[in-house]
Amino acid sequence: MTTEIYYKHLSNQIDYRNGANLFLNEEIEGGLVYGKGRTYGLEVQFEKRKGKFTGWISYTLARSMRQFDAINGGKEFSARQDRIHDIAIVAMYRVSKKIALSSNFIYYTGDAVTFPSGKYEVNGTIVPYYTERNGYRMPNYHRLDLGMTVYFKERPKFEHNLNISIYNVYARENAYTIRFEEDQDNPGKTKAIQTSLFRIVPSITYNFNIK
Amino acid sequence: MKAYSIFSLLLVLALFSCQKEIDVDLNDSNPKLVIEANYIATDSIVMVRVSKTGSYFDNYTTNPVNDAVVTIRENNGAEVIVPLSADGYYELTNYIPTFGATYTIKVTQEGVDYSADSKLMPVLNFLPATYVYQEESLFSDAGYWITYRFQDYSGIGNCYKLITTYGGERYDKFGDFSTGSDAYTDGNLIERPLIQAFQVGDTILLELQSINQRVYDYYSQLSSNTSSFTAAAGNPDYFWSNDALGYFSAYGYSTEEVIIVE
Repeated sequence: MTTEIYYKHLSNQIDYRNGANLFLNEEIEGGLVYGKGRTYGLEVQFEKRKGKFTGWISYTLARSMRQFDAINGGKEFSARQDRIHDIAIVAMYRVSKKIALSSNFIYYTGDAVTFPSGKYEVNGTIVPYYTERNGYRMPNYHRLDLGMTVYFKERPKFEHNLNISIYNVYARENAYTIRFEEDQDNPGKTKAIQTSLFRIVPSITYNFNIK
Repeated sequence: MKAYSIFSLLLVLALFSCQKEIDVDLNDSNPKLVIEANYIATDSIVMVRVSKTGSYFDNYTTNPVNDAVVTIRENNGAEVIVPLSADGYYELTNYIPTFGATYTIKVTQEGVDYSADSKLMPVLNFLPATYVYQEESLFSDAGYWITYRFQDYSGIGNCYKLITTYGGERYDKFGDFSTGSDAYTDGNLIERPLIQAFQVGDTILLELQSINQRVYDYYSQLSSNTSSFTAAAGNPDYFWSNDALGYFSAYGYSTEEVIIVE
């Protein structure tokens, strides 16, 4: 078992100014602001290395914060990559000399993201209202991968195996992006659309090694 | 063939992405106060609209606020009440301006004071506009293209907002009007084209509002913050104390009517 506690102060951090425009912008530095940040957390890992059953469980409790005078009225906010909880469980089981099974489970808190909190009218136009930078969270991410490796008879100068695995076994639709668009069936209303990638991906891999 | 089919299937599975409508819990339970205040000095009218933000997902309906106490004062002068005139609208007439003065509007609602200042800049006056006929091109329609003109005053901070009225419609919504500053044209003769071709017989009314730098910055930020190309969406800098949304613009204006003749 290993445990780590850390705290790090970050200087000269860079982020986008509110409304920074990157499209065809040759003076992109004008859209940047400079501030500071801090990260801190706790990392714990249990590992089993011997025997037929091996693997590890790791857990990270962490924060990554930023502070810019020009953002959020100077109040500290979550960095885009601020993941509070991150859990990984990896297990491998050697059934026999020829067959090994493996599994991998990952869970982490969704990234911090900026969403509008409402809308209002100004000069006859409806505009979104934002509460704070990175004040919302993407949905939590988790998935389970399973695999089986078949080892073929080893020769003096050649070894090979076949791996069959399934990525995201229970087809979790983890959010890649969330966007907001007008509801075509109900003009004036807005709906949130989530895009997910790679629901379930089976794969077969043949590996060989010439010694 | 069978192997090809399996490979295709795996490829589709690997590259397949799906989209679905989801529920997102947005924090819209604490609506924010929105104050849109204009002191139209040329007409001696103070108009203040007070409302609250609405749910992001629902149809937008104005949420007027009728229980606010609205006052205006010139520099450090006496406060004058701006009375409620319609649902969410507060209006004061015959409020005589002093150009160059700074006006403060205070809105008190549910025990919280929201205030904002706005300097009344001198009115920028139109010089006669010109127009010229241009044949149709790849980028423009055939017609008469108007150039409006005015002389900027010396000293940075004389900004403007141009509103056009033609075909029976006044284009004064955000996104329809244009704004400019004199940051790089201080004291110059300003000549700007209208991005619109007109025809013989058209009558175009131009209104040049003399806004201050802070109002110009507010519109610029609102424009960039609501752009679909922005990397960091957010609100414009708060104009009002206690973080109410909206702005306060004290301005005078000049007008010019252009009638297109051959």
